[in-house]
Amino acid sequence: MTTPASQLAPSVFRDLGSKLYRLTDAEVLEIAALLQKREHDPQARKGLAILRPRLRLLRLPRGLDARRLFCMPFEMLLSEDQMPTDPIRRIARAAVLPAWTQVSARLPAEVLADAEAAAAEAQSVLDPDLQQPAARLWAAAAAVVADDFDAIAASVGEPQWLRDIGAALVGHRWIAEVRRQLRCEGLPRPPEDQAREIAGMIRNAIDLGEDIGFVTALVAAAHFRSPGSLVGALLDNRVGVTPGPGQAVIRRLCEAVGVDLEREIAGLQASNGADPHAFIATLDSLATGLKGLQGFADKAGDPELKLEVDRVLHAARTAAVEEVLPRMHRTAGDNLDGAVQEALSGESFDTALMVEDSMAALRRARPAAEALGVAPAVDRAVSDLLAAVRARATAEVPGESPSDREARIMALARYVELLEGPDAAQACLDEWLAAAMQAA
Amino acid sequence: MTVQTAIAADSRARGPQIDSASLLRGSEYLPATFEERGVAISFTTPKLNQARIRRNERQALELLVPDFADSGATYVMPWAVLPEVISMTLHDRELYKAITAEPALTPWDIRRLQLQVAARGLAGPAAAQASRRALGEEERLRLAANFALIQKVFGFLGFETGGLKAASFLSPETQDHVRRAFHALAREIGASPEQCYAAIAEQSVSLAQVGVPGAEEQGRLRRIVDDMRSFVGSVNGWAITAYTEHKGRAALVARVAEQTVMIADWDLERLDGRIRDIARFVRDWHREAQEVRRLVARLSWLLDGWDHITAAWFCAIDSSEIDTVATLAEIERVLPRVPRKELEAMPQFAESVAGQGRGRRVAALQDWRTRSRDLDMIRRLETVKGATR
Repeated sequence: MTTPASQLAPSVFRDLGSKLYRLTDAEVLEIAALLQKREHDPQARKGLAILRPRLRLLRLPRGLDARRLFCMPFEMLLSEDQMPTDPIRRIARAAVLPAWTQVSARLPAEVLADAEAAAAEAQSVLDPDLQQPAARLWAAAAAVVADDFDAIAASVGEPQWLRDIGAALVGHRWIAEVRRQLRCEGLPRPPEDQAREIAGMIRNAIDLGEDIGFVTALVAAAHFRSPGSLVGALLDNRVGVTPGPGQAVIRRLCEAVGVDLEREIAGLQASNGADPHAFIATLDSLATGLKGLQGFADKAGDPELKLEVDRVLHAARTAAVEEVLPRMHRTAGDNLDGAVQEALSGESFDTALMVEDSMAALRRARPAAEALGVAPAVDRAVSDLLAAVRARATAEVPGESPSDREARIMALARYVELLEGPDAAQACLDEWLAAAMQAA
Repeated sequence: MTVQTAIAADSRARGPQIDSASLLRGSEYLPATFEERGVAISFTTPKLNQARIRRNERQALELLVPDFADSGATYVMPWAVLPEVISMTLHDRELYKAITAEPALTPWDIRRLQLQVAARGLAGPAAAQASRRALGEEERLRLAANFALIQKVFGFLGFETGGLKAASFLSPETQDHVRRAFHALAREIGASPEQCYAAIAEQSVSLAQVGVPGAEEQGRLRRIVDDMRSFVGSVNGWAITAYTEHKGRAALVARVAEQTVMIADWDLERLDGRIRDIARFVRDWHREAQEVRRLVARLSWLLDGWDHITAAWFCAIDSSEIDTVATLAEIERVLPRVPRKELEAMPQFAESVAGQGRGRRVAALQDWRTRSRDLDMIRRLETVKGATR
């Protein structure tokens, strides 16, 4: 019979904490496996939390090989879907193996051998010794794709996937530069100096060909929380403002961003504001993306794109005003009393957290809502909630103790802070506490 | 009086030695003592997060705010003008009032005030619950330390400790067992049983923050050291696959944490060594009590601010890479560097004192560069407050 984790505690967990980085990898994995079997036990969950820093490190980087190297220029465009509908992650991952099988069979042997050897010895994808063999592999692979496109496309499935792979392999240098510059996903809009650098790289890729420029722009866009923010950044740096290949690339990027925004709107409608943090992120993304698209449509004088932007904007407004904002308003308003009760009991805080998240989301949504032209709806929701909070703060509750009254006032002042800021909250707190003292 | 004139007036009054609002370049500034480093305050206003409070030579309170103007410099500002300098969250306004009303300047006192203010709910419900729990924990830790010391007495006397459990500590049988042990100890060391009992009770109060080796539950300071060990490993591990400029920042942060852990281990060893000889520990009660208080106080100064840092890191590393990078930059901003005199006292660090410096931080991708109130950051800090022990 195994010992329940609760009987191992607390000495085992104390030792686990202090020995965390002295345990071998195998020991960490063994303990984690034991604890995972008892995940219903709070002590076991505590043990897993203690192990988490080590477990994260044990997620060792995938072993590098020539196939992984081959994928690097286009890996940000890969999708897990069999038939991707994402306009940016638009190549099915399932296409990689057949593409590599075909390409590697046609590669010069020494290029392949060099790439295999360098990948095996590399500590990480950032290893400087990897750069030269990788560049040779990408150049040779690009040549193979160009020479035998039809034959390879037949086994890949969608020819468009192979066209994107080929373009990324040709533009590998600028794609690598873009990735080195941006480094991680989920970025906000690029800062000015970085935007200038990225624009320069995309311009260089466009010089190699429209498809190459477009794929490079897609890779850059995949790094941003709102891919549309790249359009604005490129326009600010005069990419695509005059007719030519640059404008064609930005036009295609705008189309992709438009499809992406529509997907976001659909996601927003499906979630119906259940996750306030996701709501803010989506609203920010919509505002930034549409701003970029509008900017390009104006500069390029493209009436068709203008119509498209108006259509997406209308859909975004409808989703926000008719569905998501009312739901968040309701979540905060309907649960206000429950949240105050939790503050008084001090036992749990699930409802309070839900109310706080909704209120903070409404407040945070204000700038994006203004950009989308739905600010009045946000203001109405905030003002309704403030009135509800004030009414509860000044209400007399029969039999309430002074300490409960103070706790109630504190909880409600906190909501004013979330909705209206600290100065208004301070004024309310002072007023309500003074009234409470007078009543007492 | 405007803020500028208040700062200038304060600067004139204090003379050139400590210039208010002076820019102390990160690479040049290493506090000489813990008192000069000040006590970290877990404000939830992003700009003030982990700012440090201390007294100047006129005993007036002042606040050290790292990187206040995104210049990489630490601003020193009179405490009195703080509300005029920056718009604080409601929680911070109440904390400011609490500290002003009771100008306490030890990490222990500041922590107590922080917990009391957060327990009122102004930093959110999670922080309120964590604070209430932490306030309630003090008595339990004192009892745990008390119980562990009594177990040591039993061990010294060769008494059976198998049936001695913290849960049944207050039962008549256990109390009777303990009473007999104290009489035996008193005979052994030539003191009265009451004196023995009083010695253990007093030492338990001091040791509650640290804990006693072998106790069922360790004190908060020992837990912070354990967390810091995990933190060092985690930061170093993360740095393996990080970009070069982050590697440098991670190395600095890990090195300062390691130095702190080594000094803390040294202090803990001295503290545990005193408890090991329990007979002497009780017999020389007054002298031992003084030394224990001194070591515990030193540990609480040394580890001040690290509970926030480790909690912030482990919150971030469980989210995204971009959060981890931003958190590491924030940790470097508020890094509690070991004071020069403490380092000089340790032979292994003496050489590194001169070389320890900070580079300028790149504030890319940080929302707090905008002038708008950074609600996301405030809520992240509140989450960390809820996760800090």
